[in-house]
Amino acid sequence: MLGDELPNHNHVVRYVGASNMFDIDEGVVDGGAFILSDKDLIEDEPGLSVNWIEYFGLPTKPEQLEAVRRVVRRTLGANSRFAELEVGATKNFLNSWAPQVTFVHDPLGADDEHIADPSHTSIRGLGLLDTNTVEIIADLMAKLCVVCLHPGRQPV
Amino acid sequence: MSTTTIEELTPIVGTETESAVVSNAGQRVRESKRKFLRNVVRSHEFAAMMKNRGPLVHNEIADHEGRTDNPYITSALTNGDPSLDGMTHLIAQANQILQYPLQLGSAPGGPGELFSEADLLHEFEKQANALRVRKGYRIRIDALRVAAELEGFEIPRDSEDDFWRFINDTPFWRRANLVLRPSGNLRLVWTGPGESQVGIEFLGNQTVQYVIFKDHLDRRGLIPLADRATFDGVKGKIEEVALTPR
Repeated sequence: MLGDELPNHNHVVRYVGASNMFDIDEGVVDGGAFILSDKDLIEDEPGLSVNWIEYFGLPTKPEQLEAVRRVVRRTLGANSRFAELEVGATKNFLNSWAPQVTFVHDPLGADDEHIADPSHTSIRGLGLLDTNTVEIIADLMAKLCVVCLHPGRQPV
Repeated sequence: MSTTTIEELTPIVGTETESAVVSNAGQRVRESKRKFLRNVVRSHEFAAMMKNRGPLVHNEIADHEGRTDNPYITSALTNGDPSLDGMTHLIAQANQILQYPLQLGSAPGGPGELFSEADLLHEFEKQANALRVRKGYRIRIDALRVAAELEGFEIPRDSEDDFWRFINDTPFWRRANLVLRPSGNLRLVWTGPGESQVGIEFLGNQTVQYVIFKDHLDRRGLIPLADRATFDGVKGKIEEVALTPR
């Protein structure tokens, strides 16, 4: 429900373009993927856009991810990925740096260009931090909080 | 032994007399090493790199004449730009030569002088690797530029100019991951043992934003370093935490 915090044992995915993936150490995400950009929807307050994969109530991870691919408001690049984070573990990792971080359910309605995205979630509490802390948190999330990576496009 | 300059050597190309048949295997290998040395010296890029040691190089080869029959060196002499493949070939050739258990040519000036075939090869490999690293970055930037265009932005000129300045300042550092930040700026990231990592984003005006994680990161007691710095400043920071990415 709008404005609710996600349960700690649930998971979200963050879209990561190929330009945010390491090219030497394959399969590693750069912290830049977790820095707020103009691709993140900023309405009431800044928040990293992610998708809550358990929202759809589907039994398997591939089904959950396919549901996300249908609604996410990004053009899915051929070499893009979805980085999966566990809500509670991520908050624990970031606790000493940003204890105010929350995962807030923030569903998006349909508009002229997009269908509704009922799984959209915002990671809030990062917007008011100083630059150096934001940089550290972004790299920490990339290095320590990503549970696994999934293909941006559905595997053929 | 008289000193021969590169210019004086040029006419030698193409005037090799018929080689005597050398029955002694060691002698053949020694000849091969000399030949390799001559080839390396005649790569004018390499000769330029070795300009401070030039007289020693010339002394070493003064009494060895021969034709440059290595196509890569010939190409280098003709075009002034040894190809990467050519350099790789030369290194492979050099390594093959050095597999023989023969005494390497000693430094003419004694132990204090840096000039033996091994020294040359080491320098040559460093140069070749630096070229490889630059080529890798160039290819990656082309790919990132395409990705940026698809996302609707461009890599800022200041960031790219600074990136190449930094690479020119640190030609022998090992290749790092190269990524784009949300701003479009370029960022280099070296990873080390454990969770150690150095990341520097090129902000323009020869300023970088760095984030450094020390080796063997303690997730509970972590104290990463992050700040803005000049090129010299960030190099010092990297050396301080013993994560010099060379």
